[in-house]
Amino acid sequence: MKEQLQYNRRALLQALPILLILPCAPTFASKNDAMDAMQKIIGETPVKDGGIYFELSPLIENGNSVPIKIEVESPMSSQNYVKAIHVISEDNPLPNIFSAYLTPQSGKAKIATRVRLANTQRVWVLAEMSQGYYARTFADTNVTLAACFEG
Amino acid sequence: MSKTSRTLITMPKTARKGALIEISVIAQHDMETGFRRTETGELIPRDIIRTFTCTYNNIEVFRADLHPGQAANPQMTFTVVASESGEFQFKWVGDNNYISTNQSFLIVN
Repeated sequence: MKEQLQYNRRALLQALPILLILPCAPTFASKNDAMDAMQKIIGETPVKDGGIYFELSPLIENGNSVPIKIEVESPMSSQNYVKAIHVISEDNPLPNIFSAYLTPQSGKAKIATRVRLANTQRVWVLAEMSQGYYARTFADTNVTLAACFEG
Repeated sequence: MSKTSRTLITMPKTARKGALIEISVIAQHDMETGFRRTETGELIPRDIIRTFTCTYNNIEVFRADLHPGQAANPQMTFTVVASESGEFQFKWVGDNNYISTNQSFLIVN
């Protein structure tokens, strides 16, 4: 009888973390999801770090509307230009936030927009260059009021 | 029956040839993420703008894919080189047959 009780208690204790994590697990993107999303965009193309100016406030009071600014170093000529800019989050329910597609007519690879951030996290920026590589950078931020679930 | 909403374009009316102009666009839209719940616990279905395109004399100069991670009333700022006088066409397309269009003219001298 005592053994039976112990076994049940152990089983319950073992299951506890799973029970606690389960309801929120499918909703939040993990770091791996962000990496998978980036891998999906990049494929086999080489990646270089840097070359992007990414403005994201280090402290955000309201994650529902977070202004971001991105500028990629590029002459934006017909041979050498930025084809696309992707913004990817590590801790939002969905990793993809925003993708912009530019042309040499853009003149400057400079965009600004407003995003939602669900948590304190790292945000990645990928820039697809016409010369066959991706530039990459990231920024860390602290979010006080989370988006997506509230407000 | 398609939905539409108010949109606003901010850009110069005139520009010198070869000058860089900044275009700022905003569309009125809740961008419902599909993760929120009502007071009774029902999931509110996703309803967002999916794509935005900007054409300059019928040539695409800027396109964007929007996701639920985009803030409500999506606002975007981008740049274009003023090459000739002409018309800018802006188009937003989203869930539940949402379509909004707007246009603006630029005089290049």
